Amino acid sequence: MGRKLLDGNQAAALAVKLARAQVVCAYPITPQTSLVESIAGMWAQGDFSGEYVSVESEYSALAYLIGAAYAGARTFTATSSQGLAYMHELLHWAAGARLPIVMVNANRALGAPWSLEPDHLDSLAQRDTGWIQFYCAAVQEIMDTLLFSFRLAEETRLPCMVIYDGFVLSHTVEVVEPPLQKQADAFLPAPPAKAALQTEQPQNLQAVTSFQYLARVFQERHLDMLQVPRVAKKLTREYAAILGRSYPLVEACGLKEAATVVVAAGSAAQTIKSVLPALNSPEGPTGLLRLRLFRPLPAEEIVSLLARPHIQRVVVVDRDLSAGLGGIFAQELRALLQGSPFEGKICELNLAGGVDLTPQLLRRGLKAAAAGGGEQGRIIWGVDL
Amino acid sequence: MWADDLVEVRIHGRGGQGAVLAATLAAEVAFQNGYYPQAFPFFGAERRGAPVAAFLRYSSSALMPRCRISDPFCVVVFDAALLPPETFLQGLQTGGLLLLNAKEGTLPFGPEVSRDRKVYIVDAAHIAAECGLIIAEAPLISSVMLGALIRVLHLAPPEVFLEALQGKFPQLEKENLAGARRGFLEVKEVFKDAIFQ
Repeated sequence: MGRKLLDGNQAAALAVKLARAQVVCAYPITPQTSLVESIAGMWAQGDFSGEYVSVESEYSALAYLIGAAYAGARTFTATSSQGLAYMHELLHWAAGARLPIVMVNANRALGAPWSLEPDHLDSLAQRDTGWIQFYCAAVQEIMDTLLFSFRLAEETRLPCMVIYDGFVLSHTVEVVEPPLQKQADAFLPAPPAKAALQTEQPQNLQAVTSFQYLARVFQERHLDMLQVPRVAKKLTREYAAILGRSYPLVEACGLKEAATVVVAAGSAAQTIKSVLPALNSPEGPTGLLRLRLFRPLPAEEIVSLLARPHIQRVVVVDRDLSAGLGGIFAQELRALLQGSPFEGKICELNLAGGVDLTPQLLRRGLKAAAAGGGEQGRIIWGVDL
Repeated sequence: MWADDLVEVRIHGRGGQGAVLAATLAAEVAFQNGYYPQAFPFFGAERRGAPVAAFLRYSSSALMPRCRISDPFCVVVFDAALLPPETFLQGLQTGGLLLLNAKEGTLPFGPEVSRDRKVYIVDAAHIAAECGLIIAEAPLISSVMLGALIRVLHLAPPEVFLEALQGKFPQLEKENLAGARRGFLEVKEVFKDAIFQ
């Protein structure tokens, strides 16, 4: 197909078409709207092989897909912010029923007050629903991750959320190389024909259970979630063989020399990466660890990447806030690195509300971190710098 | 800090004037000339007639920052009456470029603005009208401003950018290509001879 210019939402729509999703059901919400509009447009012109179903709410959109996924269909939806929050109850159901639904969430701050800023709390608040979560940093990566996610979801029987910053990626036009349909087909075979629900064999699924059974359901889901990094690595190799591109679950940059490592997810990581060579803090060179896969948390990868004696400090960039505790990524890193040399040394640079991470702000944040401003659970607030 | 050739542009317009389209098509031209571009709108809901902004960033390196643009090298103003000069001049780099849709002698500021930057004007409304770029009695100036922008940025020669824009306008392609060409040819620098003490 050659390289072309697309924004994040157009790239996602094209990935859904290439994945031959069979049922797409969504309700528009800024900044995701142009994604579902693109799919609806393709459907209206006969360019999309699946069904596009309009409903009156995000809740109905996910409910519809749950029904379609029970019937064995490859399904997709997209939402943002308040729309994702409205789906919350059914996110749990989709994961518990082990339905491989794939969705996009374009990050947007939850109200009140109304806002369009790319705060991450909308998707992080769904951390415990049992969905796989990927955070993307570029338009090409959105396209590849989305196509990849259909296969990962179907192999693990776990629903998957592909997340990217609203406007920063959803509405930014940049150079991408869309996969060819035959490449997409080679990576992503037709969905399994056997449906969970079949009219010839009526069943009652997910009926009322006792704790003995339910405990096993939860345990099994957890153990299967823990297998996701292994399955994802296997599929990454297959994807690379067919499409020539691959992405690590945790992206590491400049760690061989780094005295300070900045941990970030989403598009801000690319800003950090672009200025990394010039980011020498008072303590020495700076490296980057980008959390691409967040659920399951790739704990082994993170711990082994940080296990270098020259790394003195970890600064976690959070564009979210669990009020009364702090940034969610920072809390997870603190829990993971308990008992390591970093204990008590994990700083948090908090950008809740969608504070724009400029190179200047990053420098000021690193300076504050070097001065000990973010240790022992204290927060370095981006808005104060 | 990053690639030395990183260029950042901010375009001010009114909703419906095509500021976002101009940024996107300039990105297309930059791409066809071997650059890696990013084009994005301001973060908000666009309303017809209200002030909007669009942004363009390009470099020979694909690895560019993703923050918003606060100190552009170039500022483009579709409607000089829309905003006070201090608003559209905000953050404009020393040595940078200012491009306005204006008739000569109608600028809302004096030569002092050109002290440490270059100022260009193009009579985009007039050119658009002559090219048949009128809808609902309003001139469609986006392609004219795009042509002028490509000129002041030295982004591409006319035959190259006109080729890159083939099939990219959502409507009135012939008129838009003519408008872009005339914008390129007719943009001119003002206050060139201003003397500062």
